[in-house]
Amino acid sequence: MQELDRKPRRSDGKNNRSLFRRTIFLMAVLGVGVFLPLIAQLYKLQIVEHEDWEKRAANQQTKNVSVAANRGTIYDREGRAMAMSATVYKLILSPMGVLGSVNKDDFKTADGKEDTAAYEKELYDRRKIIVDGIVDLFGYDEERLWSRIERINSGYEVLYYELEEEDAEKARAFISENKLSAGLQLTPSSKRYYPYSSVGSHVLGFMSQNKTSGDNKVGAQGIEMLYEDVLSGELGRVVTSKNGWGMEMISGYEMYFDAQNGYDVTLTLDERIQAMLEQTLAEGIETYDVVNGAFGLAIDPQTGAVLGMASTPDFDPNSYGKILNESLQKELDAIAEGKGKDSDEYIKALGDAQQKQWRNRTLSDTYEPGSVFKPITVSMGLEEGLISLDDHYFCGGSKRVGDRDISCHKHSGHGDQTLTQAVMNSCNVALMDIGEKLGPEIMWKYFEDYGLLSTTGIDLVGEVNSYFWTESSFKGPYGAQSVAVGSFGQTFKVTPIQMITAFAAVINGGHLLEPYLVQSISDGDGNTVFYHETQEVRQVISESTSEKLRGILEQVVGTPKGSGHNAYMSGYRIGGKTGTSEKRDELDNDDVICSFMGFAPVDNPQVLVLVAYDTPKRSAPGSNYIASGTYISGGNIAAPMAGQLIAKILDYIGVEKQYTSDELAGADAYMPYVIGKELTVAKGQLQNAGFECRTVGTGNTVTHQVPAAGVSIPGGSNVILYLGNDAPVAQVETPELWGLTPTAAKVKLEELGLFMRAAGVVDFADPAVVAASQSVSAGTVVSPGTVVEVRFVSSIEYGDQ
Amino acid sequence: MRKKAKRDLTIEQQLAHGPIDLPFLALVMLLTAIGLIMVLSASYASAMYNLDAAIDTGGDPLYYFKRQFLFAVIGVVAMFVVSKIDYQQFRWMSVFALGGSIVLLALVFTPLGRSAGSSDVRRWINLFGIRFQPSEVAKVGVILYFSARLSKRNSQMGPPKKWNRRTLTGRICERLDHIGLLELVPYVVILVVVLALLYKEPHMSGMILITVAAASVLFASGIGLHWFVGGGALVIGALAFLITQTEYMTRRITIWLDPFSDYRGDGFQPIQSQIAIGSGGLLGVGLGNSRQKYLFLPEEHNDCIFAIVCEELGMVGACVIMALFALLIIRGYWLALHARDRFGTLLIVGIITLLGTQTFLNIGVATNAIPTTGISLPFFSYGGTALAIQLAEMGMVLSVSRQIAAPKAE
Repeated sequence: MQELDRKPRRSDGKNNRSLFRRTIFLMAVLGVGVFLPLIAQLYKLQIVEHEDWEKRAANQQTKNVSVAANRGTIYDREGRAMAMSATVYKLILSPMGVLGSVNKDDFKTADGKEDTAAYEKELYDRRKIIVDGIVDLFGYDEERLWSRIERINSGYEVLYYELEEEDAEKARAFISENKLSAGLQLTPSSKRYYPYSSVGSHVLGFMSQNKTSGDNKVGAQGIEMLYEDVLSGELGRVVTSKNGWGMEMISGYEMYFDAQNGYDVTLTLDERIQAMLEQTLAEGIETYDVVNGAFGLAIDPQTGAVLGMASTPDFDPNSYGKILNESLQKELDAIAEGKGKDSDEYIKALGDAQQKQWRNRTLSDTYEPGSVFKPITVSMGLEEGLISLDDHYFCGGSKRVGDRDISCHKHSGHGDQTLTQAVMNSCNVALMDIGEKLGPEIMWKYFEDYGLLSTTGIDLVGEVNSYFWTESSFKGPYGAQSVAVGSFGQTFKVTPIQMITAFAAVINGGHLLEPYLVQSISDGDGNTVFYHETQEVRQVISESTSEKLRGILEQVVGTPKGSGHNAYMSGYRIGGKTGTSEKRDELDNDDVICSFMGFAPVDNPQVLVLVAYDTPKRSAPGSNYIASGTYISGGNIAAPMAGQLIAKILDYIGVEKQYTSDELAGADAYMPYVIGKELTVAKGQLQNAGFECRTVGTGNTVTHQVPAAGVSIPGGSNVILYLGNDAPVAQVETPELWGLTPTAAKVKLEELGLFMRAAGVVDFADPAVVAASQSVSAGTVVSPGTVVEVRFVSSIEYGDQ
Repeated sequence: MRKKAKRDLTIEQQLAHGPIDLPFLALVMLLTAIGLIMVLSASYASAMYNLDAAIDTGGDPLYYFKRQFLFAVIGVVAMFVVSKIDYQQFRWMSVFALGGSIVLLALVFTPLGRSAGSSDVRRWINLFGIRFQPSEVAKVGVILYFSARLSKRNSQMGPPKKWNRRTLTGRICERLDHIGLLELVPYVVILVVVLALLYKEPHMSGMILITVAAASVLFASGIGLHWFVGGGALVIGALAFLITQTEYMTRRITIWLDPFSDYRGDGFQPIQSQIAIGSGGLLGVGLGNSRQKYLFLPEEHNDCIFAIVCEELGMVGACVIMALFALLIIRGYWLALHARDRFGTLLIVGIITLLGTQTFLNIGVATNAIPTTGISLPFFSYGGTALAIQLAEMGMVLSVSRQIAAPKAE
């Protein structure tokens, strides 16, 4: 019990020491200890996580109002606006705002309690005004609008995205009349217009909303997509501070970030050439009963600038979702009728059809180039010195490669032929001989050099690469057959843009160029911020080899026996190569692509076009003819279309016609009777008779012709076909031709419907040759169709040596 | 009336007229002044928008500041008046202070009690036109009474009381006396009564603070440590039970750990508080430039005022203010250590522990270092009577400081 006694007798000193120690302890804990975790926490929040919290603070404390930037315009190379923006308005409904605009506190019964019924009624009335108004003004679905206006947690229901100014004005009046600004708002936005509708649609692309863009439309295809950042500019913002209730603070700070308008993009595309190209494709599809559409390209072979790029089916970027192609639409209608528009099948089919029409086949699809590739193989041989223009090839109808006979398209064989003739005949056996001489190593090197193994790098979205054999199999022991068929462009696939780029190198002096679509970009003030200089990838062949190829290719078109003679247009020096390619990789498929690659003028190529029609419909399975009797081949189907296209383009870009002396002194021929015939048929007849033609008026049926049927005029003359209601003038006055060159004289006469028979020194290439006299004197009134004989002399008779 | 000459005073009286502790006074005045400025800044928006449904500011942005300023003046006067009182007089006053506190706490449940905002909570009363929380008074009452009674622990304990060992009761009582339990009975009874009243209000934070203050006085007075270990264990056990077993507390802890789990609800205040603090950064957005006070941060001039301090003055400013608090607390304990007698020591320990705990809990909540409890920051949080009472408490400390023997001049 000792312990029991000790405690109460604890001394004062001991107690004081305990008091002291315990107070010191408390001092340490509360004076120092507790502040340490607090400082640590402050350090964490204010230093380590500072930026994170600051962001959160800025998010809730500031109100961001965006200021729209004007999207840049897309121009063609002549400055025609192909895509432009205009201000439209978004009509936004705020169900929350409508709810808030009726104050619950205003509805009290006499004893001060809330009058719910009166409040509900007022709210209903307010909503009804809005619903009725919108339905009345714009025909919005009433039921749907009621359901939207009752989403009281929403403050942002976009009723219309693109109200034109006129409609916006109506909406504005409606809002102010009924004091609905709390519930309805108009905010400016912009809408994209494509004045030329479907022309160039695959290049331009279109604008649509995507997952990340929210309400805003962004470029979804083509140039619009690729140059989205450049075109869109930067949204401006007004940042103001707001309080916890979301109200803007009057005394708060404000910051302005000016909107930066988008830059304007100028394309290399020419709307007119593009339209000609598209028209050529459409005409060909119509004329030759083409099943799977067509594609075409027109480039400037000297620079790589793409002048036209077309692919069918196409679409109208103004309403990109709408199926433009009739046959696709018919298929869809059939599904809609059978299964209904809400069926999965229809939705899927619609999606597929849209994808199909948005697809730019010239760079997203590959095809076997076929015989169009032959000039490239020939260029390899000439460049390497393994073959020469003087070589002769014998075609017996087929060539045995390894264990297989590979036949020529002419099974009876072409017999003995020069190199030029072999290309003119598009002889597979000769090409296989060349391929054999080249061997896989050289061929592979040139595939690479011509850029066929890599994408071209064109500034457009969706480009894919080619399909080739693997390098090892091509060069391996079993590669001989690949070398053989590859030499005439089969069993590998390239994109049309790769093919035309490589072909351009063949004819432009050997320069492989990077094709491009955007020529320049300029800011809102017109300052050019980007200008595309020609990008040469490499020199593939020499200028002299290229010149030889141009010569060969001119023969292909210019010689009556040449496979591409249907592309011949007198007055234009056109060179080119035909191609008829099968789709070997698709089983049980007898589809063929008929194509023609042509350029002009031969001595200085200004334009290179590729026109290809995918599968003209056979008159019967296995038949090689279409229903109208045309033999299915590139030479019969693509070449005539391409020839006319090239002529049109040359006229448009102002390349002076060059007539050979043969053409100018062309033998007279009789004018056939074409009145009442379809235009295309009439053109065919005239072509066969050796005439060119021009049309006056619009329509599809020939109503008059100048000269009349049976009149004998010089071959190569440009006769006139009248379409629709247009009729020839009765009399014309003969022009004065003295001093004009043969070409100028011919053009001047033909403008009036007169025809020229040249005589004397007729050398179209010599500017010194001018007209000296004419059989019908100037000023004489004659009927259209009269032939005027013009005598030419060389004005410099004694040139200084 | 002429002042009595010093020689006419008793020793007691002479001691009571000693100089007050200037460093302590300076720290109190400094914190009060800074606190006033911060109330002005923090309450500006709330007063302007007339946010509090219970208080009609009439849109006067200076409304809260004016009232706080008035009470600060009253409080400073009260502080000096109290410091003039010979603190030995507090010994007899303490009984009345405690008794009065309990009466006031009970009055809360009479019609005098004013319910602010929610009708379930009754923490305020209106007496003679002054609106205040009796719990503020009760804190002082408990500290005063405990210090007064515990200071006599040694001197009054003569020879141990003899228990009749022949009766069972006697033996039990002897045993209890021996382990020191009997001695604790009156304190425990008082504490239980006060806490029960606070629990009825309910006033959780008041309970915490009174318990801590009372415990600190008991602790310093030399009560056996095992009681604190036991008591602490009991509290921790109770807390653990509450946290795991009651939905209310579990939720508090969940919100504390992840405020974003209930962004719009209970997590809102901690998040907004952290946004304010975090966006302040090292140097702050500048005095008066807080944006969080514009209706984002609730309680911005009350419990969350420190968040506004952090936002406007940055980590540097916040640390300076925390340093001032720390110095005040350390100086307070220093005064306790040098007090003339045990009563003075215990009194200061109680008051300063209360102050320190309140500071820690408030800042801890604002920075989300600890779960939410509604505790105000001394000298800073808006609340006129609380500030006045706080300053009066400081007056008590100063009163004790007067009787500290001046160090002998060298």
